[in-house]
Amino acid sequence: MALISRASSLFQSNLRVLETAVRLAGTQAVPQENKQPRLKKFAIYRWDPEQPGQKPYLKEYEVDLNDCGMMVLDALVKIKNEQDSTLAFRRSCREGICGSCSMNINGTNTLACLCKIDDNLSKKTKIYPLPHMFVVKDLIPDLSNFYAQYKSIEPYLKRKDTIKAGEQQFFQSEADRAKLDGLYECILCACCSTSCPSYWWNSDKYLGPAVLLQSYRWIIDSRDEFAKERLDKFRDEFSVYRCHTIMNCTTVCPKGLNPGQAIAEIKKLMSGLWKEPSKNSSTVPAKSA
Amino acid sequence: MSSVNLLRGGFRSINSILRPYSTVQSSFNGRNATLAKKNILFVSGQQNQIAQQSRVPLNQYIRAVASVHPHRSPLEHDEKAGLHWSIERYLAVGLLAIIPGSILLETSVTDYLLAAALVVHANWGCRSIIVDYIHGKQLPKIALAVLYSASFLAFVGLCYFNYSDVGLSKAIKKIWSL
Repeated sequence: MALISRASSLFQSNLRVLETAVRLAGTQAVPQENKQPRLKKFAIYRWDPEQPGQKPYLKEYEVDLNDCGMMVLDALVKIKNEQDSTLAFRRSCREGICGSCSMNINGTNTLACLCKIDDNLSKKTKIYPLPHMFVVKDLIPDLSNFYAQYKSIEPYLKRKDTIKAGEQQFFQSEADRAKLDGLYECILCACCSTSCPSYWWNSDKYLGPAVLLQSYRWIIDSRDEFAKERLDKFRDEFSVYRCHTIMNCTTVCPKGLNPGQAIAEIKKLMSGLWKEPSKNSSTVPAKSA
Repeated sequence: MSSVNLLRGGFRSINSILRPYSTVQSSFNGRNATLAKKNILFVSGQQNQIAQQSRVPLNQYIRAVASVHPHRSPLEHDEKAGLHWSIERYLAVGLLAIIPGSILLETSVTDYLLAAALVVHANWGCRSIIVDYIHGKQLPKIALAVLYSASFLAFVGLCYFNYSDVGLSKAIKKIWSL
């Protein structure tokens, strides 16, 4: 019994030592008393559809960077929490995997959660919604056309055989799986499509880099059997051929993907001069025992 | 209260506003339907009383949400579009040989070949600019007509120059030596 109580007191004292150590370390890392506030200005695009006749304008906010996370999304959340709750923007995962917070920051389409705040306090950070999109409110663009285009390429596995869903699995060789790298990671944030001038002027007819990248992902999937039909759907002047390879899409992609190359591969396949990469025979569905 | 009544009535409860986005959007035919004042009806009657307190005018919620431009691609099937792209690439690669070749050889055949290749190349480049930027029903047709006639004139002019003067390759050399 005595042993137990001694052990527990030892543990408690250890804990206390640990606590003070942590507190000390904390105060050493951030000496809060004599720190100048680092005020950074953010100019944010505002437009409220519920106020008739109001035109879009830039509103300025000041944020103390000492008291804010390092990414632009942190600043936006801080502004919404502390200064202006009417500010509207999309966000979800805050780590670049959901694609919600895509916007135009200092002239470049990117994800607010992956964009570090510029430390230069003399410069304003300007934030606009994705360019050339209809705006629902403030930083929220209307992506319904973008999603309709995505739907039109049938972004799912299509087979010519009749196998019930969930009954068998399709094998894929490692080499075939590797072809999907650099394609499957796309999160459909629309940064690339809305940075493309061709998409700005012809978004009703040109599919745009994001959707074409996704289409290519299914065209070269070894398990998909509709590559030819998928390509044939693009045989008009607008769907693919409005791409003039200026590579804005690849420059802005926050995930580091290369939609420009995917579109070029689609054009190569459509020209007939290049053949589809051979699809591995292990594509055949595994017979369930 | 049926959903049709909800949509026609112009008022809806908070719950129905929070329906999936696609349903909200598909219930309207574009912007006019949502902005027209006459569409707003005050639906009264006992079956609406439960929703009475939380109802909000429809046009306050559905305004800029509906896309004005419906998605239109893929357009009519056009086998030539792809072929056109391939021929453009052939010509662009061919020009890499034609330009230095004609300057080196200085024959009349290569001069005419150069004239044709340059005009066609420039014509296709300008054509894609027109397709990209000039929208509408009549305007693109006019612009393309102007472009084709200009290209034709340019080709005739270059041929005339080849025929009656020193020829393209020699002219390029002369300009270069200035």
